[in-house]
Amino acid sequence: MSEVLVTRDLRKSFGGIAAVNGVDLTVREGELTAIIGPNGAGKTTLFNLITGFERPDSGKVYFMGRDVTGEKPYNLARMGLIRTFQIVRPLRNLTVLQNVLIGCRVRGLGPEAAEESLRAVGLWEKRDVLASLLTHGELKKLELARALAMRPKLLLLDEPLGGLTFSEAEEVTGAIREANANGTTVVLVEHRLRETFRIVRRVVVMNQGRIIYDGLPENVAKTEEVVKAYMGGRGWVLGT
Amino acid sequence: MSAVRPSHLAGIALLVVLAVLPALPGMRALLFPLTLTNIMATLAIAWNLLFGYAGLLSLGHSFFFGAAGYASAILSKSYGIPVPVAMVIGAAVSSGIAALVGLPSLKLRGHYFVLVTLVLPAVAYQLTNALDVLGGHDGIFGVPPLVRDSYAVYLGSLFLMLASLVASAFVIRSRLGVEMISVREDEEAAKALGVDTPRVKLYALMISAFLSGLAGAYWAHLNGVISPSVYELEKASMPLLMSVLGGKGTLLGPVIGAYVIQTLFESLKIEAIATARLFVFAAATFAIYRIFPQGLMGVLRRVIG
Ligand SMILES: Nc1ncnc2c1ncn2[C@@H]1O[C@H](COP(=O)(O)OP(=O)(O)O)[C@@H](O)[C@H]1O
Ligand SMILES: [Mg+2]
Repeated sequence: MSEVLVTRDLRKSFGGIAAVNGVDLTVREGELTAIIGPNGAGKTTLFNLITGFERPDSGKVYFMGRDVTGEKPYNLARMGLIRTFQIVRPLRNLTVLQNVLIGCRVRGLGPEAAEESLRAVGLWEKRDVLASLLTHGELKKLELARALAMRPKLLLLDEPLGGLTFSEAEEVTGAIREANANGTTVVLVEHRLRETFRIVRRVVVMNQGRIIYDGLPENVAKTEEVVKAYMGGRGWVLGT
Repeated sequence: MSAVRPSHLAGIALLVVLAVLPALPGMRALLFPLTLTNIMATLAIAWNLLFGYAGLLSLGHSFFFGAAGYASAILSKSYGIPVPVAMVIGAAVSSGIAALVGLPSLKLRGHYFVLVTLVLPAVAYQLTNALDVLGGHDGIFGVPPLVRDSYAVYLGSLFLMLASLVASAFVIRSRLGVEMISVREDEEAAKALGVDTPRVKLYALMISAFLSGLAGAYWAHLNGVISPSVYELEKASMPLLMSVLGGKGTLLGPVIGAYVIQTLFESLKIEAIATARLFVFAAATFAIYRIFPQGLMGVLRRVIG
């Protein structure tokens, strides 16, 4: 299988603190992978480095075999490297549908792509509602729908289940699984492990800017270093 | 084409009234102030395209207005270039300077762009005052008119305003317009959606500067003179007040705001309170903004809907 994403020794510090401290990550076509780790582990920063929202201090990012280190985020998005934000960023004065259509238009896709993605996350009925009037759960779904509508080659989701009710989370994991089944390579950052482990086939654990585990979901809790990392932070997470 | 709506008919009726009214006997005194109103409305439309749709605040649109006015005045007076051609070149000059200024300042985060727009008219004021080739303190006199007949000049200003309105509507409905709105709403989100935000902001600025330039050139040929006073506070603040009062981010808001403010302006024509007048408008505008963020357009919509 071909490599969609490769990072080589990625590093990024903020004021002397290494947020990402030498990450080598390879993602192959068709994967559905979770990145987990305590708060402050560097997961969001890693996404920012990959998608061009932050420039790495050193290291390389390859997307579809091309060196895209330091490439502008909008160019990467047009190439099919699409991300969502942990803290939702809706276009508040636009309707749900308008939010989704912009990305379609930029990617040269028709309105069918918008409808398809809104149906996938269960927001089609709300298409004419202003984004400013949505609940938190609906905003999270909109964030996902906007990304899906751009027909990503690689989709990076930053805590797509954050703050969702159980039934909302079920809808969202369903949509993610469906997108993956249709050929989209997905990497998601999550804290809700029970629901995440049900759909992913690979888990990467980060701690203090490094990858400390990379393998099957079943073996994560058996790995001493992972357990220690979580006990040092918020021990509840692995209990699931 | 969609069916003709009542609002379209009302618009056409209003246009006919505007076109005919000052030609009626006893109404010729309205010609000059209404011509001025159309020019200010055009400037407000241009400002609103940038702020109301792309979210970029300019506190110095008088610069783009004045620079084109100067360029068009000089080209037509000293080089004998036909006035309509000089006006378009003048507007292009403003647009070109906008590109030069925008290229570096729009890439920076935060309020650099606002600061740059604030500085531009101040610099232009000093330069035009100091340089004799630009007429110095007294400015440039004997700027040839577009046409002699003042009613024709008025109709021309109406056409200029309408053309700017149509151009704005066209931009807003285009892909560029959609991208501008996404930048206004959330620049980071726009980038994630594949919007080339620096390019979008630059194009918005250049189009806005071009329309402002057309208004400024029209104004210079209307008055027959242009001097450094064009760069004073009034021309910079008026498009902002007009757009916010009428309804920023709406197509017709700037036009409504321009007509309301210019009408009040004309009726309070006592020079001694000129500064106070500006202050009163600013206070009133922001009071309305607090209650109706969509300005008079918001009030209208509520009344009609
Ligand atoms: N823009 C920034 N400026 C300063 N520090 C930052 C910035 N972004 C992230 N950090 C720091 O980098 C570390 C990693 O943060 P982050 O990538 O958000 O972690 P995670 O997403 O795993 O919770 C944290 O210590 C955080 O405070
Ligand atoms: Mg995070």
